Amino acid sequence: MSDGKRKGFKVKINNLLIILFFFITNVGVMFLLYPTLILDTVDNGHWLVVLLHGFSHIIILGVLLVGLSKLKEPNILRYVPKNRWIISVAIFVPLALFIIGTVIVSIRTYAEFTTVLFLNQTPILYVMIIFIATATYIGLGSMESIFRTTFLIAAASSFFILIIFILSFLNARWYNLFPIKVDRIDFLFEMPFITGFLILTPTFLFLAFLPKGKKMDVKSIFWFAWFIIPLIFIAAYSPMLVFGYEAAQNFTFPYIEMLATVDIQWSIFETLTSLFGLSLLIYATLFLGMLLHILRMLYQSVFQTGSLHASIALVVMVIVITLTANMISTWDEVQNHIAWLIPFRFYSIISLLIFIFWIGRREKHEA
Amino acid sequence: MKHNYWKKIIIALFIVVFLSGCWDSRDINYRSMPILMGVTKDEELFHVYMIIPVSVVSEQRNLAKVDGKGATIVDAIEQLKKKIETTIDLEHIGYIVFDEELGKQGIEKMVKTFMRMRDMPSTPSVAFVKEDMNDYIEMMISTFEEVGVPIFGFLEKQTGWEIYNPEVSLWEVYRGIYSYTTDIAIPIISSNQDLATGYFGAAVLKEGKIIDTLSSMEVMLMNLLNNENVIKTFVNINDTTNVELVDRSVEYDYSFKGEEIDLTIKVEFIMIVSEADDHLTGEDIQKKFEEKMKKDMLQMIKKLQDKHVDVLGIGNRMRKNYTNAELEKFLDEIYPNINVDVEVNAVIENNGKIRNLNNDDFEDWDQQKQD
Amino acid sequence: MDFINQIEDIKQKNKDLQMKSIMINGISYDIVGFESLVDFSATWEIVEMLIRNEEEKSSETAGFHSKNTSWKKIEFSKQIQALYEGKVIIWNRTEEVSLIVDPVSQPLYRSIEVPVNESIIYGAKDAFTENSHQNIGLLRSKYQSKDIEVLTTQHGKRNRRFSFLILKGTTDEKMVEMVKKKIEDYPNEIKQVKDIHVAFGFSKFSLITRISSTELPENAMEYIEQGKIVFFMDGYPFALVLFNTVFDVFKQPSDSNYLSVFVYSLYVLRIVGIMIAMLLPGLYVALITINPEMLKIQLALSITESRQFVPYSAFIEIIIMLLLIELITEAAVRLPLSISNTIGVVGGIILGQAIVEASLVSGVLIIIIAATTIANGIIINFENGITLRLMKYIIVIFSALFGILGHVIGLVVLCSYIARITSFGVPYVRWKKEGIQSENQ
Repeated sequence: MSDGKRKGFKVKINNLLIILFFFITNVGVMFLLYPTLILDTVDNGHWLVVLLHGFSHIIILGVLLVGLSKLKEPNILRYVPKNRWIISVAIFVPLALFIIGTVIVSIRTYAEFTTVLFLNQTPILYVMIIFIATATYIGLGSMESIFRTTFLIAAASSFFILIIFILSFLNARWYNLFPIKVDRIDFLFEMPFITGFLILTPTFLFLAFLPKGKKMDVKSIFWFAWFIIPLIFIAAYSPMLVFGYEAAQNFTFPYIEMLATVDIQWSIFETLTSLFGLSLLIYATLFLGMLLHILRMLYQSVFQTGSLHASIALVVMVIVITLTANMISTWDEVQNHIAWLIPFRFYSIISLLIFIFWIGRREKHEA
Repeated sequence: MKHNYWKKIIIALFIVVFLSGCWDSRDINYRSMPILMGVTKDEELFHVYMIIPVSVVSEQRNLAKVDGKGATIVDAIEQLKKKIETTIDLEHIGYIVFDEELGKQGIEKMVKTFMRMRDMPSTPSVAFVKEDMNDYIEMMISTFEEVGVPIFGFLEKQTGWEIYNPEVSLWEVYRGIYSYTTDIAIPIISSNQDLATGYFGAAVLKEGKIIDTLSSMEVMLMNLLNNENVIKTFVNINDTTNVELVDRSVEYDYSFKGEEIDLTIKVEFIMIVSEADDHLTGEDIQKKFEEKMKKDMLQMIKKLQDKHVDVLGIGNRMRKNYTNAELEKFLDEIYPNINVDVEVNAVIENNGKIRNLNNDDFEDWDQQKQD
Repeated sequence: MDFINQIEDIKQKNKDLQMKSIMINGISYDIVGFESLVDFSATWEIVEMLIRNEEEKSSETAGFHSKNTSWKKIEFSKQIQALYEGKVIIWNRTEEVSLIVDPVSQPLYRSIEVPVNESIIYGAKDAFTENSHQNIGLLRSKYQSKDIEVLTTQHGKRNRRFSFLILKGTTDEKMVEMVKKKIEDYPNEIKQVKDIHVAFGFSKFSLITRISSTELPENAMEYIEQGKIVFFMDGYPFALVLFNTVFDVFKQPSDSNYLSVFVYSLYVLRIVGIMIAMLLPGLYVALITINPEMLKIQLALSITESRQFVPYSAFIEIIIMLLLIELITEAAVRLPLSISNTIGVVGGIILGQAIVEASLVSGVLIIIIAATTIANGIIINFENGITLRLMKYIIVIFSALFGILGHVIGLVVLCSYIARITSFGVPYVRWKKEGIQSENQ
């Protein structure tokens, strides 16, 4: 059911859907691992780290959007030149590896999280399989269907998320905000900071692969992206506000532990944690679905050599991903793998930006 | 329709995976949900008690006591689980009581274990029991069964707990153990023939060990200085006079003079006179109240400073002046040397339904006229 | 006398074919028509008048002849076809020409009645009938403008008529053309709505009705104005609407007759109803079997108590109950109205009471089932209700396997399924006019 192409009926994706997807995936990615990283980075003055991460995120996003706005087609895969193996080795192989790595680490993390929260006795492999199977199902659809799924999910769950954001400040004590003195800035070259740096980039990769005929409003996306910074602040600071830095740094998932302390009498359910956890998990599933979809598109337009259908290739990749993720047995190894991904992340983002500007210039010359 | 073909295969995969086993599946009627956990130590072995509501056909709910012994807390819980045929879900525990003796040895490790356990919530209230744990549990059960239905009454934190008793959740204890600037006071209770829990003030913990106790009065002062709700708090000034607090505001003013730190705690109360000697004017009551408050607070603060513990949140207010590295030593090095002063201001909102005729209501007016 | 012979032939096989002769001005005419379709006694007058008129006209030579009613030689097969369509043929024996006349037909169609399936409180109270001409007339009477155009096609051996309504400037005419062609090109007989699905190339196993039916002209008109394609199939007393959206599940045009505030609260109510109908049974299974920690302790204990002697797992328990409710619903549809009430009482009250007392299911479950069934009724359009009835089971299965996590994963899968449904490139999850009209704007 390839939409958009049939009979030339162009389908307009609402700008809103893109922004919605952007936020939903950011929420899904941000609240699990990111607070720990922030807490590990420095002892004092986490706000500086949050701002550095936030601004770098927005700057990269802005550069990407500027580059994309110069192109006629929103999907950069249309510009892959004919002698493509150089390009694909230089840009798309690292990018694909980066995406695969992100998916592996993510499903492992979310499976861990699930076993902590809901399914204490279910083996992690099976939890991973549900996630990856759902994500694959989402990823096999068109990108537009992913946006529309996001819309439905957001309509059903944004209410809870908003209430939870508000309630997460119920136990907050303002004095735990302190100390805010920044006593050193050598954290810039330390592992936790670099790990946290650009950790959110996979959430906006999709902007470079939008379907044909899509005219996105670059400016509004950029300005909406600024709301990321308050989100990062909530993610990093609400555990600290409740527990204080000293206790918060002990937790694997500080934000979730913070929510577990909220004890409200009027809720239908006993805890908010489960609701929030569920929302995070489905948002993350959408995010994984999008990554897998990008992977499928990459295969289709860059790597496809034989007659293997892209969907089948994706399923094969997913099986490999699941098996790899299953090999990560301990939580410490997950952290290691996140560290391994750092060079891929930096390389693929920078090379992608260079590629976009390069094709933008080339297009200008041709015109 | 290649697409559909693949969808089907994925769905089939789904089903295969799904039907291969349901690990967590256990119906609710095969689960037991303890609501109270008691921890004590018996000859180097941890002894864990649980109160489990047992459903019976008759409308009345019964409670059962289960206990287990083990070298560690988890071991004791495992031993306990072996004793009954249903699965035990710890998720609904609303109340954890420790033996007071255990508290003197230190409960830090237990609290950390509870926070670490996946199926333990972080919200149950924590308390110390003064008497023998077995007696306490037995007494609780018989009390509940006598009263009948409201077995959850004591779990409803909004009802039974007053300002004279600290209300502490597990996660707050955990925070208190770790925090550089604050400590935690846990209520000491005992069972009681009169269908209620007896309170004996609170135990102050430092690094998980009881090092001092606070009386009910001191607990109230602690709550007043912290951010507890004060509405409907009655304070005895002396044998014949009693006021009801309506509102209060606390302000911490501190100034640095080299190494010295001067701290002035300014407390403002708005109150209602609820019981008074006939001859007292409003001003008298006010003064008496202020003096009493000031004296008690200073006394308590001194006591706490001597023990290097801070349950009043003095340290919390000073966090902004230090870095975390400096705060690590705060309680032992800086806190005991703070010069604390207390300023109490009280305003009488009204005298209840009876006027205080001793007051000269037009005094101000008269003075102005004379000028 | 070829014509007469052939008519006689047909008459041998069809006893209801009538042929009557009449002599006017010395010319003998034969009037042929199906007795079962044509009210001859009433038609007689018309025929007579027509012939006389014709005589006068032909003597005058001037005067106007409408194309259809002129005498001419018509192919025999066409004439026969006209007969089967309920027309009357007047055969001039001497000149061997014929005239096809629209007679007074037998009252084979019911008159316009109050809607039965979609009951509304405020709103127009007329409903479509089996006769598509009548239906088009109903719509024309609601939109009296030259902008409404009707495109008709016939299909198959049955010669079934399909009429498409076009609102100039709103309906995408290319799309209508394409849809019409799909119907014309379909090789098999179109018997039911399912065949239209197949003709359009939609999956037969879709959970979503892509071609919804409405009984109310008012709704149909509103759909046309939204840019949807509305068409009639002869003999099917509903307007078929293509490109329904996810919003049609809880919005219907006649809602706008209420106060706006009330309408919005109604939408909220319906969305809550949809959530309950779809999610509640699954939630029960998930919370009872796998994640009881999410329940409040008081609730958990009372459910435990009510399940004390239930021998089955929650999944089996709920499947038994759901099955029973589906049976009651179906039985109530099948049985005559007077008996179906009894089914309601027996099924709902007696069985419900007895099944709890026999400890086959828990009392809480009865409440869950009742809430689900009631909530299912709040949804606009019976077809959408069926969709939710089915989706409920998917969620229940997911919940039984993975608890509350499976519950939301099931929801995500369903959302993704709904989101990827497109009909001719127009997505199902979309805003009112999005997608359909992008070409025109």
